[in-house]
Amino acid sequence: MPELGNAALLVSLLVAAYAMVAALLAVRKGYGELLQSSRNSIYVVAAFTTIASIALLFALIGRDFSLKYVAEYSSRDMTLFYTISAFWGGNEGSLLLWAWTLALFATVVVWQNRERHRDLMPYVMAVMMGTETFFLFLLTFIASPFTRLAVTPPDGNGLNPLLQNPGMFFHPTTLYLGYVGFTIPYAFAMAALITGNLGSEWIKSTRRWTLFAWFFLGLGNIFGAQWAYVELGWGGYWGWDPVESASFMPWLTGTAYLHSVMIQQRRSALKVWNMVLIIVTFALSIFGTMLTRSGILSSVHTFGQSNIGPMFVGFLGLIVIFSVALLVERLDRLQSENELDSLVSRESSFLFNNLLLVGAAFATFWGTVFPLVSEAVRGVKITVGPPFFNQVNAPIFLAIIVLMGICPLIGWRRASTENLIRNFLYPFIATMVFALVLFMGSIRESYAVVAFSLCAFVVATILLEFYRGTRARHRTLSEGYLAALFNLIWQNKPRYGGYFVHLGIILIAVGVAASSLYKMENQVTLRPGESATVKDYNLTYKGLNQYPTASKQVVAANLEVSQNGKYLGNMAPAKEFHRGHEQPNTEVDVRTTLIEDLYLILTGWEDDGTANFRLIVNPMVIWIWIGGVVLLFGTVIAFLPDRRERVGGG
Amino acid sequence: MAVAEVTRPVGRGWLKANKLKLLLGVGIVVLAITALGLNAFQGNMMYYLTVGELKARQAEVVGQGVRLAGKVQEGSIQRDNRIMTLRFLAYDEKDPTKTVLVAYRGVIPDTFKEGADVVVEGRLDANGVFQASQLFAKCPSKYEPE
Repeated sequence: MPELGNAALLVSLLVAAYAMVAALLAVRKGYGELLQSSRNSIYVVAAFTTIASIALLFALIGRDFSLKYVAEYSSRDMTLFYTISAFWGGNEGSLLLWAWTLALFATVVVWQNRERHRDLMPYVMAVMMGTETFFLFLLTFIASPFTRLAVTPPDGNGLNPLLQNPGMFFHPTTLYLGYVGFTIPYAFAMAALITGNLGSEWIKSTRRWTLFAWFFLGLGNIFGAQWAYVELGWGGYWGWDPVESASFMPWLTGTAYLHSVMIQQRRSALKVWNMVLIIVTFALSIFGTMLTRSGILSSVHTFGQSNIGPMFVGFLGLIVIFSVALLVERLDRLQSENELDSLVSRESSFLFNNLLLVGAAFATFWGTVFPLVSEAVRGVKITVGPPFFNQVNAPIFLAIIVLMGICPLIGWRRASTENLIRNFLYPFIATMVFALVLFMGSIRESYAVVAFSLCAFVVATILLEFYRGTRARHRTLSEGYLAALFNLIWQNKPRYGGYFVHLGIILIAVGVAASSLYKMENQVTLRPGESATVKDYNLTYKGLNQYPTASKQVVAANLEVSQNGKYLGNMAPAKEFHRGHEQPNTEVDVRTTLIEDLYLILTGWEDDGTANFRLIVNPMVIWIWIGGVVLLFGTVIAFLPDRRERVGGG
Repeated sequence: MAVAEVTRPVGRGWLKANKLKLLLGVGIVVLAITALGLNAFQGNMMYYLTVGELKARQAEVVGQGVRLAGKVQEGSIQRDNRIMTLRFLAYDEKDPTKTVLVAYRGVIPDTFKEGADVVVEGRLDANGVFQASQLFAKCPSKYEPE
């Protein structure tokens, strides 16, 4: 099997390189057979990368420890679930996952467009296969997952216990779907630049791909946060680790892109800006893959040094130089057909939303790469911690939330005073009342009052929008209210899907704001029988339990939890000692309600049974995950086929 | 089918004032973000040094925020779980003769042990003891077995 895998990778590499060249030559020779041949080659690449991936899966499941990769990232005691996820547990497998995913995406793109975009497609195919060639080159010559060991060990090292969490299955995969997905709109953008077909065609036909990539990137981040929250045992979900920042930046610029293309479609403006955004987003996707995989920056995620870093830097440089040169070459043909008319208009509100998103991405980028810059320039590494990222981004995100309320409702071109009053008077009043209620209810920290009130403002504008639309249908079409609401959404899915996405983001914002501003913590040392409190919880420590399971030794504390004198149950924060791994693994115990999480960490103990705990109350964290579900719902609605596409499309 | 490119020039004199306002707005936002960024940066920047570099720059960095990278010296760990304090010697990976005493109070991560890579955040005090407020430890072999 491993030999088959290696052979399949080599074939894929050759065919992908051929597909790229053939697609480019096809333009000169007048399309026809050569283009068909390139198209078929892409199907072949998909088939052979699939074979290579299956070969790796077989090797993992079949416990073929003669393979270095299998021996390093799996072991006999691992369940099937984690054995499969060991596929992307290391560098080589992750690169294979990238290449495989891209090959499958390319196949779908080629098939979708077999009758469309005859002018763009050769270049789209060339860009996709160029990227594919790079990854296959790495896989074939530098980081092959099919390298044999000189001596076959009886068992493998196994996956780090920290990685043995359902998050290991979902976080890397969703993130990669996002990273890889952005290749498609990028390829179309480059094709548009090369051919000079710079209208909105390429944007229209990549709307779903963009949405898809954007959504999965966001979901990957949420999965990562969830995983960190339950597994890493430090009481938080986001630490501005370089790799976290790396997956957050393309999401920010991707969000900006998703919005600014609407202006190009509607008003034929911001063309250069859109090109810049998709180039930056794709470059950041590659950069994110590179940071995770090369160990250039120190992070909890860096899986050791590797020699693929310089390759990635070269590839990234190539992308940036190629894209920017092309953009400059076409600059005169990317003139907007319309200028932005007024400061108070839909267009400018989108422009400002874009500035803020890109500003946040840039600040994050700066903070992330500054250690490298300062070392190169001044010879000393200077770094910034999480407080920097929070201080910069919190105000920017608040401003984005304001615009989230304003953008969808403000009039195009030049918003009239009536438009402003009509759409914003009631939400404004509602916001003020809400702020007052918060203040009366003893929420007085200015950051909290502002953040929650702004969220309320956005929710109010969205509700007003749903209410008006429903009422209008009810009156003019005499539909029942429920039917009217349903039809309202169904008749304009991108728009109302977008509102749901906004609601999801607001829920996440509320969760983040509440848990950052109102976190309560108590570090205590308790003897059996002693009690401690955190917020209004009272915890009595009953003692330590030690017991073995199939793969580990567990030391768990037993705590009796009550709130305001009412008994809630027992909780058991623990440390687990996995066999074959000397380092213990903290297993937190979390009691989640809609209002707050009680989050207990066992940090250490003495032989006499005295134990140390961190007791944390994290308010409203569950709303971050609920927001993720709403985000999913909204994206699915926006993704579904829409009436308008058939009427106006083509 | 591709729609023909419309390249009608746009020049509308009366819009100038609006355009100016728009540019002004953009300028203000860009400046605000820059100011925000610089301010936060100055308040939070710290040196990122190895133990050897810390020793070489000792005079310069006393009392300043430093993130320090080193390894935990064998047999140097003194910990008291009751009051959650920890003292240990950190040495430079490249030059093991360079060491600094680190004092830390707080939660000790699972990965902390003799020989582990540690990163601590804090300040070097006047007595040459590194007072750490944050401690991260990494056991590299767990991530990438040799």
